[in-house]
Amino acid sequence: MDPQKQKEQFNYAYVCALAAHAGLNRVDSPVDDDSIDVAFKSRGYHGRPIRSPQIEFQLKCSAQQNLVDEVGGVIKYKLSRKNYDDLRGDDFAAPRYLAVLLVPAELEAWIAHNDEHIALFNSCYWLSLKEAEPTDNEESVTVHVPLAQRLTSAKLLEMMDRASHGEWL
Amino acid sequence: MAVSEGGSRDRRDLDASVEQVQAYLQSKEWFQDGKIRSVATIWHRHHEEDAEVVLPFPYVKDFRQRIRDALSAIASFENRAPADVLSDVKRLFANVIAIRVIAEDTDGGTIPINDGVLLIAKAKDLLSAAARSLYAKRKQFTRGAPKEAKEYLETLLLGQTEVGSYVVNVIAPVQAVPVQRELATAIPLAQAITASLVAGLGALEKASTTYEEHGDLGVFDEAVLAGASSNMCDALLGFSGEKHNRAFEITVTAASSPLFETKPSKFVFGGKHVGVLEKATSYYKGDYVLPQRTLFGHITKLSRPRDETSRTITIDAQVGDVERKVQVELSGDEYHMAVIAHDESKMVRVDGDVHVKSKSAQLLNPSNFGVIEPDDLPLHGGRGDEDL
Repeated sequence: MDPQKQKEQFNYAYVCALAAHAGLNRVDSPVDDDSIDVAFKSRGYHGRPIRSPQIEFQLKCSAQQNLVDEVGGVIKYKLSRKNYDDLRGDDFAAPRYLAVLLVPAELEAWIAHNDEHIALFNSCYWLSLKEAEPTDNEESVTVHVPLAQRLTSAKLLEMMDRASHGEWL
Repeated sequence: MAVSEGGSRDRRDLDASVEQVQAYLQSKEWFQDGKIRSVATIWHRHHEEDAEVVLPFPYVKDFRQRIRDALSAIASFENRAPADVLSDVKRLFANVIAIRVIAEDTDGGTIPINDGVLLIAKAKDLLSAAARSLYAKRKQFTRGAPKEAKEYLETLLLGQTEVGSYVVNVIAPVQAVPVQRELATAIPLAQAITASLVAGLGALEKASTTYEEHGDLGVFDEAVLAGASSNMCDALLGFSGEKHNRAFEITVTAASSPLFETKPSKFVFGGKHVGVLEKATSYYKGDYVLPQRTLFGHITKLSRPRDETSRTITIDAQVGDVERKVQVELSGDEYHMAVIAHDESKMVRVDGDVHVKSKSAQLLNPSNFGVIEPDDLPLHGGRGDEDL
């Protein structure tokens, strides 16, 4: 498998595992948007404006170890101008996020098999570009994904909760 | 991660508009139950808590995907395919003309290819005939439709064919009419053409029935005023196949509109109607036979070509409302009588079937030729026969 494709699939499986744990349904319909890789839907938010909210993700996976700025507490990720524009702003009917997964440089280190569990490496972080400003950059924009914003199953549920109000986390 | 192919937000090929989906939701008892900021409206149903449709505004960035999600949500609620929902959504804003061909060889949902091609071509001709009669009432249209009508005809869509004999659906989209004060009662051209079609078909159906009862082609004159024409008849005849041997029915379902009848109109043309349509179109084109007429008139021409046995006279006679020069072939004795009558400027009479063409008329099966003596003149001046 092409290494890039391998990262994409790993990232997809990683996020889908979190969503499954959170009890979210993956949206099966083909997502006709090249800046969205996966979408999740949930039901039962009765009493909220939206009873069946939906959230969407653009997934980015990298094995580059120099993206993390430990001092600033962020991942500096270079997004294409198109992806940036497609994720930016709040004129979307379903909230959308960027999710960045950093994997170890060595493929063997992506998964650890243990007797009672497996572990996926490393962590995935999320970012909303709802408030992001327009840019004059032609090719790309470097976004800062806070290391404090780890994507977890609980976080997905929080995102869904906000989405039931038509809002972002 | 995803590969960019560009143009994903090109909205030209969008499947349905917000207005269309909204109208569909309203027609199916969904109600608007809120808004997401200024990006979408939320639709729910009474007593069905899980039913939800989020309808985006046209300017949101994820419009394309959201409108499809909306169609999927409706489809899921209705337990059918999104494509079927889309089809109904579109039909809500269009007039649908369904042409069903009824014959043994179309039972399986197939049709011989030549007749299929004819069917589709004539479906457009039918709409074209209805469009042209909107601008002028004529027995026959020899010129194309006016520009606006032609442009409209180009927007016609061919729907999926249906099984159950063979059905072709022509979808005629209805554009919204801009609100103008001076044109408060303006209706879309599509509706006017559809109305003209319904009127024309109805008039033809009625005239056909009357003709079958009385055998009087003149009844088709009245149908012209309602929009019937030889072009419409020819289109209909096309539906009966190359051999004119199939029955068919046409159902016109109009889009919802306060100014237009929304109940579907159905017109049935059985085998015997097809024969009548053939006569009607010939009549409209000025090529028809008036059976069992008696003609009175003066002879204006005597013709007996050398070396030929035929002897033909031409009589100026009233046929219906029109004075026509009718050619009559006579026997030797009759021709001799005709020559004398012509010399003496006497009128003649003759029975037969008048075959009228656009520029001439001929008497078929002539009989009872006779010269009218001044004492025998009919009271009404000897110029006419009974009404058409």
